[in-house]
Amino acid sequence: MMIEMAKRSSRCALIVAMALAALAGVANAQEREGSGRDVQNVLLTFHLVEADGFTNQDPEISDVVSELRKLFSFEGYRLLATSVFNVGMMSDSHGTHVNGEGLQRIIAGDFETPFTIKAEISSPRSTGIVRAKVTLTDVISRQLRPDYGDIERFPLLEASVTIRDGQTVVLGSARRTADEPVLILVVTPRVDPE
Amino acid sequence: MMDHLDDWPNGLLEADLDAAEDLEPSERRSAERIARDARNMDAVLTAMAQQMSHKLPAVDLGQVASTGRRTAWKRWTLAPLAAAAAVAALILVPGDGTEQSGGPDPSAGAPRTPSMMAEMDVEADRPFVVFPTNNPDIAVVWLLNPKES
Repeated sequence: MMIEMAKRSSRCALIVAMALAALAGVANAQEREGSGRDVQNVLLTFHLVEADGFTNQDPEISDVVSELRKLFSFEGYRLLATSVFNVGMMSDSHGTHVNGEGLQRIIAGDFETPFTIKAEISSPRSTGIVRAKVTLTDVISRQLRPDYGDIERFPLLEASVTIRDGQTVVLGSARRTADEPVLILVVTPRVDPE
Repeated sequence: MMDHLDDWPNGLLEADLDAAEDLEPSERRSAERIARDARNMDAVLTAMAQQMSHKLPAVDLGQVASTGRRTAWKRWTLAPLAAAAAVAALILVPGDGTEQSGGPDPSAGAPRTPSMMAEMDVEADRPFVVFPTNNPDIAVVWLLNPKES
């Protein structure tokens, strides 16, 4: 009687375990599928912001400005330009990453010379993680080390950052000359936007 | 609920035996045998109740007899279930730090709440500071100007 009951419960246990395994397997597969696909496109939104005495609120950058006000003592922030461009991603020769890059020239505010925003995007395959190298340049050449006589054009701002989908990264600070206001570049990627 | 120290068989049957002293010898032997069995059962039940009271703070003696069998049934039923669950857990729990598609997964082995600086893995040609903000979707990377600093 007891042995029969044990056999029966063992069979039940085996069935339950197999059912659990099947359910969890499906769940894991769905989870892997969700985060494991290659990034096809990255839509980048850039805001070029000037930090100076502007006290008016710009709703387009209000979230960022409210955080910047907690960190810095600038009197106000002004949105100079917005740039949106899509970067299509392609597999590299090793097949381990998908890469892409985009570039856009912008005329910002009262500045006579245009700026160039360049984004080089890289994503390890099947991860959905995006790493962006963002460069803000203008056409003016500067000496990296005037004392040593090195003449090199270097960007106003250059940084590589791993960014989540939808995360906003504020990159500061850049200044064309000592007399000009501080520039801040705000970037938000959208991975595979619909 | 019946108190196991005043269990019914003794009192009831002894009273009956007192009243049945005038019975026939065969009937009397049967009655004594029944009384003896009842005392034995009472002793067994008392011992079981004491054993169970060490494990269960409040045992309903009306269920003591069946509890022993149920415990055995539970053991026979739950042990295979527990073993199956353990095997299923071993099968289903993924390993840490698995490499995917030939490239290391940056999130593998990372703590669940990594610091923002580690998570963002910032590289720049100038010294920089990463400021976390109250908004988890906003991070500030502040590159320091060598001239200004």
